[in-house]
Amino acid sequence: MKLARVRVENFGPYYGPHEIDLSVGSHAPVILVHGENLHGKTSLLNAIRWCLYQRAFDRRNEQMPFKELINYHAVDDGNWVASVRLEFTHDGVLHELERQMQAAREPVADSDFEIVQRLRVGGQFEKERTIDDRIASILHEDISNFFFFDGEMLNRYEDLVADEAGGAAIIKRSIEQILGLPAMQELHADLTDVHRAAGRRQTKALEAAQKDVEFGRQAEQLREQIEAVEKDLAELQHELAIEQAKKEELRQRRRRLGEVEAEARELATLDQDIEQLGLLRKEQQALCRTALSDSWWLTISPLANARLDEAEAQMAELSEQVAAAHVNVAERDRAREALTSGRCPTCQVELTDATRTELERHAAEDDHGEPADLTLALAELSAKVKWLRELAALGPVESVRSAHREYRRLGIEIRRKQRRAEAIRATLGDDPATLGISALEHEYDDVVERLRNINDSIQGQEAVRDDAENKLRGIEAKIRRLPGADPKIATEAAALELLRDIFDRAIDVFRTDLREQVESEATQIFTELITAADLTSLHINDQYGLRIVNRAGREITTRAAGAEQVVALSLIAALNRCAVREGPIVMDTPFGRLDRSHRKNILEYVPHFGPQVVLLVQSGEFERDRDLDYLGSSVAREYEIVRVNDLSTQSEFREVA
Amino acid sequence: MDTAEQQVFVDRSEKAARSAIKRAAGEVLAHADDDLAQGVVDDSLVDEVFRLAWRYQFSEGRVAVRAELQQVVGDRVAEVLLAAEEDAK
Repeated sequence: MKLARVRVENFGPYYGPHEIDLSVGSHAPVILVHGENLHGKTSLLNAIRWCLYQRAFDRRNEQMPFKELINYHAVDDGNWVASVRLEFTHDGVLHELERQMQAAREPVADSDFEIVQRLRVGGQFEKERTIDDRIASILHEDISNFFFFDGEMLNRYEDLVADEAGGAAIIKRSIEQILGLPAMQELHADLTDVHRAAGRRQTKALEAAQKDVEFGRQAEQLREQIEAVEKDLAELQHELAIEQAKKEELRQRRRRLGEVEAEARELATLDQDIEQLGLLRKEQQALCRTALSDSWWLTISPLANARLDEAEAQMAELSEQVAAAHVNVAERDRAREALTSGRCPTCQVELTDATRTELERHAAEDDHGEPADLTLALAELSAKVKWLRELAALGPVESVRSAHREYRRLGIEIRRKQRRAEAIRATLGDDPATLGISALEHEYDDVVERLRNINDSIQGQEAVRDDAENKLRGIEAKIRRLPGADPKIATEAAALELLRDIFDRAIDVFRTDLREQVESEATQIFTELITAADLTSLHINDQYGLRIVNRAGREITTRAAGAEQVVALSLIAALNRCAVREGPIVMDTPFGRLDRSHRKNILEYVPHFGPQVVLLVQSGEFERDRDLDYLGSSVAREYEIVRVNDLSTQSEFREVA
Repeated sequence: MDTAEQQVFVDRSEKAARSAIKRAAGEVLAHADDDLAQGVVDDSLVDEVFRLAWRYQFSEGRVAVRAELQQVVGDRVAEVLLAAEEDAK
């Protein structure tokens, strides 16, 4: 399988349709995608996973609800639809897979979504009901963790293989599936079935010939017993899987209980923050409204500005009039004083008749009006000018924009906090206080007890089956040697029994060989990647857990997080080299805990990981100027995931020239 | 890693599986005491059955595999019995 193109629409931070070309050549197998935190690297990985398997995971490796996968802005638009289209080639044939989740109204659970899906293989549509089988036959979900993974998974690997609650068994099964062991196991089951059918034909032949019917009857009874026991065993295995899943869930809850208090505190803070931000948002909304209520001004702006000019001119004129009126009043008062005293108020000279006549004219003059009236008019005009100036300075468009920007920013902040609060509530349950550790422990012990009982029952039933099979084997051998036995059927049954024994043994031999092969490959890769010269090999155990071995042959029991990543990457590269199926490797932020030397070694090795490697990196772990050279000429394409703007959660792909 | 290089790994995986079966067959046949079966089950039949298993390893339905298995073993038994008859004559 090789990825060719991914198209996402309203998925994660990708609002609307966005496309990325992931096709590579044999000499340039690497696609490099840069993106800072929260820009959409994990969403791209999840888009691929969701399209293939309808499941996406968060950093804790917990499955994400569908509604969490839809872009927030699409949701704000009332659009509960998201889709991913994946083009890939398999055995040289183009496959086009498209899945879309859609809900008519706000969904509560995944079941509220309708999934529309189609797959075209070489231009022909696959039947909808067989799409999942087709994908599973190409790259089964059980093994996908070794192809699509993040740095967290690398750190967790050792914990997973050490987990007796089911995780180890799942990892082991996944690894053996990659390596081709199921081919042997399935054939063994087929041989058992065909051998049993031959035994039945033998019994029927005896009945038909009416010879040694008792042997045939005994054999048939044993076959029926074995089949009944196998049916019981299948049911027990099913129960075992259910209880193991319960145990795993309880184990996770128990682990999380330690985090509950911190999360409860965080929840309380979030609730307070949400309330506070809500108040601030209301304030911005009010400001927005006020600004919008002033927007009537926009239509009369030219007129208002003309009025302002006019009023300012009037005010200047009126100010002059006020000054002139004051001068005039002063002169009139002096004229009246002179007329009353008959002398000049300044030089005390007696007034002449001509002067008296002139002063009488002044005393009677009232050309400029009363200063008090003019001052009042000026004050009124000044208030009008002030109001018009304020109106002009208001700039309602900018005010509305500013308030609305802040309103939206607060909205995004509130939604982010609400989602975090919802996620915490979902994990805490309705009432975190009722989640008592003792109740959880009690429940956990019950599950462990049930698992023990089921395992005992399985062992008991297996013993019954083995005993019945031995008896059947003896009887069938006798039947085959009976003089009246059909030689063809007898020989066929004997040959099938022997073939079944051979493949039964081959499963163990192959398993051991595979482990040795993976260990050898992983060791070779590990020594290329690790910088410490005294660490010379890896040792693989029955569960595919890996231990570092030093030059003296001693196993290193404790190791740093960086070494953990190198070991896990060595295993993944080894598995991909030994795998029966080729697949693309998509690594999300895989170098977070590596020092510079290890990062360099791994980057130089990346082109050899497989036929296609998509590297999703952030600037903290990959500096383009410094690290790009390590990949040499192996990079087919390079992209950057960028935010459309700072205020929204919208991202897009940009090809780096 | 180019396609040819990848093919080497895929082939190597098949080779490893075939090698494991060959050794298992050696061990089991060395201890087998059923003359009827030993006359039929040899390296070539084991290899033919293995190729069948490997070819169908990604197949979900097993009915076709079982029918083919039945056919392969049935044909070989018929051959062996015929040869034995010829020898007896």
